[in-house]
Amino acid sequence: MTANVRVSKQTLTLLAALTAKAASWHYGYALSRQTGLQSGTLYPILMRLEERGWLETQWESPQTPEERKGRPPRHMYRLTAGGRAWAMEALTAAKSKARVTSRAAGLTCIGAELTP
Amino acid sequence: MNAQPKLGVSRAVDRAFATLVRIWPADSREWALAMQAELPEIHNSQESLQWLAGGIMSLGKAWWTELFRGGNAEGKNLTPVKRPGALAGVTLLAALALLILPSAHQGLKAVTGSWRSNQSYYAYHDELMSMARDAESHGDAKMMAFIAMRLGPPSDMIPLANKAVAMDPSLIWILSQAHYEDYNNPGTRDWPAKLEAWDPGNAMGYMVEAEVRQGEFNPGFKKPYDAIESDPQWMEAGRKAVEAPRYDNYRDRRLAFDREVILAHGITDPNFVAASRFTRWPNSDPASFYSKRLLSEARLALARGDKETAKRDAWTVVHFGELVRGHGATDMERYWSFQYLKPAFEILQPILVSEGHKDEAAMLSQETEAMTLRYFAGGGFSSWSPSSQGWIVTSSVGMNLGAAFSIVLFAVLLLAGLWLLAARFADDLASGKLFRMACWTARFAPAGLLVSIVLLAASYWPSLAAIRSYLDYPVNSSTVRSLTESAGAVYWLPENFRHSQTNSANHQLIWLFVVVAGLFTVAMIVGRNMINRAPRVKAA
Repeated sequence: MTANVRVSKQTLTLLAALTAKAASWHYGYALSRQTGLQSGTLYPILMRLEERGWLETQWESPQTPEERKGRPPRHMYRLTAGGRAWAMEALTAAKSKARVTSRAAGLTCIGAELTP
Repeated sequence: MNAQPKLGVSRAVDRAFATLVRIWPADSREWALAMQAELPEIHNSQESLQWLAGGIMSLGKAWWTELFRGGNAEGKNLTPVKRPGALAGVTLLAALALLILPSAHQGLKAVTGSWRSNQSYYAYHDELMSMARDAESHGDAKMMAFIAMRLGPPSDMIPLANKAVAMDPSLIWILSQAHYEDYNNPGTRDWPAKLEAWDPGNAMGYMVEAEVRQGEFNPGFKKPYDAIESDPQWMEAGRKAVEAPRYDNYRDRRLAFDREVILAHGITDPNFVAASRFTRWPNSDPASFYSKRLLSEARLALARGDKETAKRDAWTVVHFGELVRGHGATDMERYWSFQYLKPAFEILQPILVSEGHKDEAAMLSQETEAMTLRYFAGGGFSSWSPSSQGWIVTSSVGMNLGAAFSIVLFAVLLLAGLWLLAARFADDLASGKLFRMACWTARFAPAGLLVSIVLLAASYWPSLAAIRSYLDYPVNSSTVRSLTESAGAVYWLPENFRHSQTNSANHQLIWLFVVVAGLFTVAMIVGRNMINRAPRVKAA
């Protein structure tokens, strides 16, 4: 399932943000602030996720003119059911890999300490 | 969340984003609108600019996807594609009709031929051999000689030249034109004697003799190049050349002969016609080394007060230099002649002054000054006049780009046409990314093809005029210069590409080509998206 999308560090960061409140809709700028991803990184990832059916998108529902105050409707995002499953799988795999890497790094450190 | 008065930066970002949305590929424009819709939430100028930068990056990625993947990967929400209309058909017909122009179809032939020649020195070998077999079967000695002067491999060229001369002894002079392909081939050993017997007194035969001797003395140039100076046989050939009463490199004879064969056989390939400019000139080394030796002896004689010996030796060199200058007919030979004349004049000037011939000495001084200005102060020899350099480079870039784009666009048009034709019979081919690409190509590539062919025809026109002038009028210096420059224009860009790895000065030309090709690509992408622009999506 993960084969078609490159699960980069940035993608994982975004997935973590989207799965944190999986049922809620998210806005682009808020996601950018939450994850620290620049828009030039964030949106291409969102586009790829949407292309693969892992992200659903929706424009804000019409608001009253008073609520809108000249603002255009915003685009909102949340993971689909399939997207949530895939995201969990990708995040779990990344965590396991991180554990292995940190363990290996620890061994290297020990080795370094033992080296005269 | 209240709307606040916009700062200058925010307003500029708003405007820039509006432009971004307009030029965003239609199939994924919704994402541009999504990014734009976030702008009112950003209240910091720096963040606005960063958001804009991200938008530009995303636009680049969207263009990339559009160009190479034909829109978004799943092909969803694609704008309806327009099929090619009558305008595209008329444009295509106009482009193809332009190919009837001689400067278009002959230009295409010349440029693609130059690419072939650039790939291999023997690029035309198979065609030439086929023509040679045909000429032999018809007993056509002139055609055989014509081909021998263009054939590369000595194993084919030498027997063909010998057969042509055996059939028509008046063609012996072609041995001087064909010989330079191989200095050390037993099949050419008797050629100098034949040339000297047929045209006694011409320095050309002795210079060919020196070349043959050089091949025997230093096969494969395994010894140092200068080692030949110690060979008395080689130096003797140089002496005979310098003291010869005449100098004729057969340029006019060859140009007239080539023209006769070209017209008689209706040869139209510009690469064969323009090859006539490659009039053979001999290796000047034997004459040059012998002249240097004579002038050195003249200086020694002058130092010991022997003016007569000094004058005799210097005048011998002047005589040869004047022969080459007067009859050499090519700029390269004139350049060589000045290398003999200048030091000889410098020896003669003080002698003439001491003998009271001040006017003659002043004349030699003026000549020396003129030579220095013409050939030595200007950074050396160039076969093109400075005034011609500009048009040669411009037309070379124009005709090569025109030909390259014509071929590429014609090929993609052909593929698109086949796809659209197949789509008429198979409904499943009439949708999807490839169908969209085929429609787009069929709509816009004819205009590109038209422009490319016009560019090719216009750039090649001066070269065609030079070839026509050569074929229609008696040969003169102006004809030869035009022919040389026209061939230079055809070969200049491919040659620069070929040598770009060893000559860093030419890298700028490579970049010029890359920039032009890149601009064309960007223009195609922007044009495509502007034309495909969908009405702005009203969200929600």
